[in-house]
Amino acid sequence: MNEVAFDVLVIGSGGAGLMACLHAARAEPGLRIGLAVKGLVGKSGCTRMVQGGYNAVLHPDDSVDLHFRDTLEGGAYLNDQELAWVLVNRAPQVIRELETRAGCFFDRNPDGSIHQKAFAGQAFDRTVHRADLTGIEIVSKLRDSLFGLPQVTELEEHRVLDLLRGPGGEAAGAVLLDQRTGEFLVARARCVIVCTGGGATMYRLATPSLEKSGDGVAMCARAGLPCIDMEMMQFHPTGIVAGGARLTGMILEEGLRGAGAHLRNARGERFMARYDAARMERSTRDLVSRAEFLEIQAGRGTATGGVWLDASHLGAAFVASNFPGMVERMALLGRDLTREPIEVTPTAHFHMGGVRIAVDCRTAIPGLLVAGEDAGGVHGANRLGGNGVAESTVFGAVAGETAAAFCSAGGTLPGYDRGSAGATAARAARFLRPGRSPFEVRRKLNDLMWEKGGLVRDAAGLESAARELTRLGAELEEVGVRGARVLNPGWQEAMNLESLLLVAPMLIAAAAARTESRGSHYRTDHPERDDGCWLRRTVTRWEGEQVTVSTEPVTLSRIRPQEVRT
Amino acid sequence: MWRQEPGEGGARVTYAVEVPAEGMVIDALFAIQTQHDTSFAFRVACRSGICGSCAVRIDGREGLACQVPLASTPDGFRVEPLRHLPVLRDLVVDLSPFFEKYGAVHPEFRPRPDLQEPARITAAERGIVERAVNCISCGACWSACDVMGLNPGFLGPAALARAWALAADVRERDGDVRLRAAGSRDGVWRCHSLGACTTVCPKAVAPSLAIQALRRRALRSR
Repeated sequence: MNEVAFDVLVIGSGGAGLMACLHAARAEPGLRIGLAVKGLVGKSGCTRMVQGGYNAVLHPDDSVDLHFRDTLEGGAYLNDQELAWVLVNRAPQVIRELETRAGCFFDRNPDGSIHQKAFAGQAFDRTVHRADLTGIEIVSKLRDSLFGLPQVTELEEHRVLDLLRGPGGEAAGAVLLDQRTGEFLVARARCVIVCTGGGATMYRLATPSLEKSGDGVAMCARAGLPCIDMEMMQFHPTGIVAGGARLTGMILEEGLRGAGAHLRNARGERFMARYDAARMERSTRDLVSRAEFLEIQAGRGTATGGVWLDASHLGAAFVASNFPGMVERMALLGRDLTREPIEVTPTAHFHMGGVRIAVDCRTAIPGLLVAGEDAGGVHGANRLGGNGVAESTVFGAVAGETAAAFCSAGGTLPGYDRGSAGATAARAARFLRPGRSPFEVRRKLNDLMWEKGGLVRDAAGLESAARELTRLGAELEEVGVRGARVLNPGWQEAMNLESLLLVAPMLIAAAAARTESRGSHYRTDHPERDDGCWLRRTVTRWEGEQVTVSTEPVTLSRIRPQEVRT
Repeated sequence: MWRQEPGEGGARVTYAVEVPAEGMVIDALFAIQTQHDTSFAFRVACRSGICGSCAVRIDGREGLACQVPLASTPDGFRVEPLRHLPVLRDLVVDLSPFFEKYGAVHPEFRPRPDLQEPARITAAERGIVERAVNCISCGACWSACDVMGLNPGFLGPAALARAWALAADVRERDGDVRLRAAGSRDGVWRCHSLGACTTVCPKAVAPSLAIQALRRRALRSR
């Protein structure tokens, strides 16, 4: 196998990966950095797809304390408070950096200062944005910044198959598949940063970029790392309904509800009055998504299983000028967002659960850092809109700085076991054989997770989901793909499926363990939130062929639930 | 569909597939992959016109496969890879030449040293660059540009639009560097003003307007 060597290997080129490169290079300009991404740099991942915007405290009347409280209240106090504290404190710095060092151009107030808009679940209008497609601005400019950093080597369309460990168990790099040649490659490194994004794509309806498949969590789980709160999967309330088209599940942005758009069931009722009368449509994503699901389940949904999102009363001109990207998206489907209600559905969006990290992104494996959606804890049981891009960029920066400090503290490139690298390659190559279509097994997984591991769960469904996942694991071993090794999408899909089939059982096991309802996790057999017993996080790991779950108390290091309710 | 194995010549192959009524061209590509051949290669990521991965030629015109409704081509359609770039497999091209030229204008923002806080930006200052900053580097303009085929050295529309976005940005320190790159032998003077780049751009970046603006600046500074 060919070999390349770096000081730092960054896996993933969303907001976290790009910020990690920039901050590692800025802290230690002499570092050699490898950036491996399974798609194209700056084009894959979800930071680019961010619509609404970026929560950061900039206004003198706002405060990081308020942002912190909103984040914890939104996360139903399951958050790792120290991680959330880093998020709210560094978000304003990163916004300044994006404007003054990366050259982003966020929308302005008439006086030329940065405009901030209203977003659900927040006590202050603090969401920085560029119209309704904010992620393009951020990721394009971060990607452009790489052109000024010759020490970063881009490995595009290089899929990371697994992590490599050194003689003492430390991170030593990764085994990659260069999709353009079909050849395997070892990328050695002293420090590895995992930031591939999550696995919401395991659901039938989902928002993320299609290539995402929870690879980062899967490779960390395979390395034995514990994952926290894996049951916490967020469903966004306003996914587009477009028949069997791939656009189905893609979202209409949160700011529409922030700006006053109404949600109605098929009877024309603003049903949020039944679920959160105080906040109505501006309630948090978990509550709104579940309310929609329950309305639809109760027979009050549309004929094709949705509810109506109506922005027409806000005025056609207002909607057109504030949400041009959303208007254009609906126009493609022949609908007019400015003048008519649009059919929407809940859609799997973001995994709050993930690998356990410290505030500096370190994990239990020396030299292995995790940042962004792959990590758990920042958002607790539910993420606020606008905190996702903040997380990826803030913790990407933190990981880059930690990597630089780690490398400058000395040490050399660890050795690695050629046998285990070879075994990883052989495992990937086993799919190059006649067999079942990976797309067919993937569809089964997506349906299973939607029906039994989705918005509404119960013990029987979760138990049966666990059994069926084991069966799908067996079906994976029957998957085979034809054609050349170069840029073979069937082969990629088989490996996507393999990652998702490692993550999904962790989610199901954690969901079965949490016998209460909190945030995005809702159990019909345990419908109440139980702060007495369940201010605890689940800790899930793969041990051999088994997923094990334990729980531990959440450390309420800064504030407790009752301190906010007033 | 254009089918081309790595290292071989390519050919058109016709497929009949079941597609969803509200689908886009990308849905037809997926249908081929799932109903006929799992090895059929095309790029896709966001499927919502944001990432620019899926730029191809549809009936000879560049566009994002995820943004062209199937309803607009009810009698079938032809899909080919972008022009002026090496084909890696089927519809997937090697974008390296595109990004080499893009890099040649130094696309990274270089802030003025006094830029510590986000600048106060007036609507007029922003209006100048508003369109050019929307580029998603999909390569559609590069493929549509006939000059690109005649003069492989030409920097191309996307790189020049980026040069303009930086040259006109009031926060930039090195606008001159971009003006020099754009005014070089392979820069704005190579453009024949055919306007195909602006016609096909899925994000209304209007590279031809950026090129005109760069020419005016260059003439003024002579």
